[in-house]
Amino acid sequence: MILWKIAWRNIWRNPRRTAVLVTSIGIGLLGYLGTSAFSRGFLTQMVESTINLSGGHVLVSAKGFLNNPQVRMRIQEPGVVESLLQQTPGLARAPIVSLDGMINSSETAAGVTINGIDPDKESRVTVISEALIEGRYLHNGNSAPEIVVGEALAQKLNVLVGNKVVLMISDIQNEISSGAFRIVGLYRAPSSDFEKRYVYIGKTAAQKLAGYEREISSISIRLQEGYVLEEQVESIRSLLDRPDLEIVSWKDRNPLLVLSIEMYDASIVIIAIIMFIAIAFTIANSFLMVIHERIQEFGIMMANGVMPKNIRRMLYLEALIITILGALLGFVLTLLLIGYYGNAGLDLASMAQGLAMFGVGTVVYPEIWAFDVTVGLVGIIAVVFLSVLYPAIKASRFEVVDAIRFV
Amino acid sequence: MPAKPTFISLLLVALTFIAARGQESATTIIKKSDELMRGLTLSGKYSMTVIRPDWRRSMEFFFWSEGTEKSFIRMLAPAKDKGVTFLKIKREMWNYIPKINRVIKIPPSMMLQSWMGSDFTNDDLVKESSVVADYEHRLLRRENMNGAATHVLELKPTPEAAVVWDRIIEWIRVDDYVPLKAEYYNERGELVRTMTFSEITRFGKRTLPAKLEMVEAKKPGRKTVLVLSDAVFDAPIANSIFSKQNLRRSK
Amino acid sequence: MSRLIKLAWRNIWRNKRRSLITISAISFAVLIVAVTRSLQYGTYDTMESMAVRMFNGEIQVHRSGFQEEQTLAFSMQAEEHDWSDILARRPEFEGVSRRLTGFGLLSSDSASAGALIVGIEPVPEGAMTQFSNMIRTGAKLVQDDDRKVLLGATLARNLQVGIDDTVVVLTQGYQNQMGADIYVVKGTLSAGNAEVDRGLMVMPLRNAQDLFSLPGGVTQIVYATDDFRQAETRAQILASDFGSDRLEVLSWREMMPELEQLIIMDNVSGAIYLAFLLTVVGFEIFNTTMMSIVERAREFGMLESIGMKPKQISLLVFLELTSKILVAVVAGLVVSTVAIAYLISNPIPLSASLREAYASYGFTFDSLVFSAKPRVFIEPVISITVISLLALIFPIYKMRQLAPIDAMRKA
Repeated sequence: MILWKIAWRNIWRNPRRTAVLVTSIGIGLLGYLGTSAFSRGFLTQMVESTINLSGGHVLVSAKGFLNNPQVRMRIQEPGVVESLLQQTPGLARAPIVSLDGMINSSETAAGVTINGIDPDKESRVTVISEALIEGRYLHNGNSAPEIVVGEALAQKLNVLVGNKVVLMISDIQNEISSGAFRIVGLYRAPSSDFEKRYVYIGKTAAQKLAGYEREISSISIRLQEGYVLEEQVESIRSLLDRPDLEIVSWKDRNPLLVLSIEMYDASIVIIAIIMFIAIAFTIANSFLMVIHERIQEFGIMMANGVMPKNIRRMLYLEALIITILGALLGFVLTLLLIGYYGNAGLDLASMAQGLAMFGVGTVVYPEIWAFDVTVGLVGIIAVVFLSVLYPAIKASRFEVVDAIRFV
Repeated sequence: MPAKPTFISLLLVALTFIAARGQESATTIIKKSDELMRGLTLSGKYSMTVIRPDWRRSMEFFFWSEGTEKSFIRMLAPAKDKGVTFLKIKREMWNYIPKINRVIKIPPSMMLQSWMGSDFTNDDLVKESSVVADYEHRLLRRENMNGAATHVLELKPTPEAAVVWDRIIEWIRVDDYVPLKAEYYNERGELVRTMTFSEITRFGKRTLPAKLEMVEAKKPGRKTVLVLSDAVFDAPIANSIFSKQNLRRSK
Repeated sequence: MSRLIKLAWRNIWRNKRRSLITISAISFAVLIVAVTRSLQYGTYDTMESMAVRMFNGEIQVHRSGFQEEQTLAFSMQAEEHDWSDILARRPEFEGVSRRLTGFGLLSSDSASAGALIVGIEPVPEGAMTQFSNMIRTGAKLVQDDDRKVLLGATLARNLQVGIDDTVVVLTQGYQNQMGADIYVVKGTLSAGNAEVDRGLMVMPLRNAQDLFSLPGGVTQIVYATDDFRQAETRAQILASDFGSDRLEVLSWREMMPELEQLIIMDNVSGAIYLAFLLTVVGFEIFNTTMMSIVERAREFGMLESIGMKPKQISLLVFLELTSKILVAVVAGLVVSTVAIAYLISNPIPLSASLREAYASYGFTFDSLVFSAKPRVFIEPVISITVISLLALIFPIYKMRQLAPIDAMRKA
């Protein structure tokens, strides 16, 4: 108990020294947590920017539809599937009628994928409603012949908001079905290929075009949390274990993206290790210097009959208190930084010109994971202990005379 | 006392007649002109020339049609395409190519492609969208064109019609419903396509233009010219002509 | 002045422990930033060069307007230029390959589907880009293959055809001439990209020329160089070499603007890590410097009491520390070079599953890639030097505030 008191008093006896140690731990923790929080954020952003525009985290389709998107591949009883999905709370779901066909203006024609959507539900799964640059989004519950097209496609077709286009598909009877649609809005996507490929109409209008009654092509699902969702995907898979359905996650749909992410993950691990080495070096160095300064003090203590064992204990206790203070400082600093960017997001477009032209998908939200906090704390405690171990042993073994003489 | 027709009553009758004719005429004129060009059936030979700024190509084909639902085409020239056949029934279209000995059903994705390299698309051949049913017609004025009195009509697509045009202006001869010209406009009021009809020829009982020229207004130097010859209208055509078996037949 | 320099130099060696701590802190910072940047640039380079080599290649030459229209009206005769001439004259150009690209309707006995048809020269193309190498079943195309094709794996499944089955292709070729032919499936492709797998057909160039009624015609000339990052400059060299305004010369940046986004993202995320890393190492340097000065308060007090002006003392400390920084940065650079050279020759292997996954897309990618380009060394040298100099300002300022008596009484 007396050691606690001495340790506590020692810490405040020389505030400069304590400040050096506490801040080196605090800054170190900030560096580690900041790096991991932003890496998590970047990974999430990479996934989000892929799923944001289409498909969500999980896509439920009629069996065979994804590989061979033909009009006859459809979910016959969407109501049954929906009510099954309702058993899992917290899912945002959006039905899609997806049809490959042609779009025709007075100028030219182009092949497109026509997405018949429920405007309200779709905006909870994808960001297409936020990507509009001109005109408006589709109205809800509206079977009016309205269409939203990409900016690049509008240019190619030489049409403006308010103009008419004709959609043409092969319907459920395998006959050509066509309809006139008025353009109500233009959207901008990160890639012009996407803009040229996807057009959006109301679900009812798409069903009419295809000759469906209540059938749909797919249901896209957005899960509540970030990107590690394997269990959720599996639970949906087992929930919808029906021979006529096919359930794919964003990973199944983007194998190359998954590879890139794994690659990125691997390099993050290395970067985290490097960051940790830097932090360890800083902390160890600070402790070594501080203890070195105090060798004379230890000598005097030992000359007064303090056992070396107790000097070691005192040093560990000091280190423990300092680590707690440093960790607190680190958390406060991290919370200040991440708290701000976690809400507002870090808009990369403001940091790098040229990104702005890509529209949606450039804001990164750092994420604090309990795992990273644990690793950071345990790591720092280990580093502090190791840093103190060597000088503590050394200090307690000094010959009294040498120690006192040491300047 | 038998009522004698007075001048006034005669005038009234005449006026109602004229008024009635004026009311129905826009649609009737279009209908009659359409029927004139199509006949109940038609068989005949077309020569088609596709003109581009840097090249031109000519081809010949024989054409059979029955109403708007069925048609059959057999390519005669050039040698490379000889024996290629097309069958259209309702909105479906099949194509046979001797070189690979296959019949292929044209999918929607190819419907809007150019037909045999011309300014016409496959869809132009297939579609049943008719100038009668898909448009509202309005008589704009009368005009003299090539020395003949013509009706100038405006055709506006009905809201549901799957038509890309905003409006079509058509010139039709007053006396015999022979079309002379049609202009197609987009929604910005720009002229996109012009069809002109000429070489008015007598085929049996019908008099109609044998030559059709199509020009894309926004693509200068491009033109497709179709000339009809040996045409027979309204004669019955054997059902075997409009069959898939006929696609593979060499004659 | 020279007396001060001598004194400073002597001071450095007088307290070896103190100097060593400062120098090692700075050298270590240089090393750590250099290794981090080396890994970041290495990874980015690899990922981006993979994306470039997947399909488009580094530089493409077309008839002007092809990029926008993508139609056969913008084709050209292969003999129009001697495309490979530049390879002999300029070593940075490493390969050239010709392509003819168009669209067609593919039919089997049971189904039909539209596809992008790419006619290639199998050998040079396979050496420059990956798409024709990513075989799932069957085999790659070789030089003498005739009327043999590769199909995207999903496309093959949709058409219900396998190896050695036939597909019929119907196209509108040059001047919209009808083209049709029958081909034998030699292999299926799996590019890890649903669009490609669902809609790509690859055939020998001369078969494509027949199909599209374009004997001797090509749409794209693809070039590979020794450094894909310099594609823009290389594209300019090509453009001025051809000297024809009927040709467009495009770098991959112009062909794949969305990849540019990825690169900017990489740079920004790299910059964020760098900021955190520099905060940590900068603080370390500041701490070390600060302590080494405060420790010596008594010494400075003595110097002042024997008549040295505060300005001279500051200059003395400044000289000491700057020479330490110089030594440290040079040492750090040497250590970094050694470390990075080691990491390049003894790479850190990737996990087996990741390796296999890359291999299935035709990429040999076994280990983490470290880069040794100049930026890797220039960036840490500059940033650490600046941070070290900044870390000097406060301690020296603080030192001048210590009155001689206080200073002597301290410690």
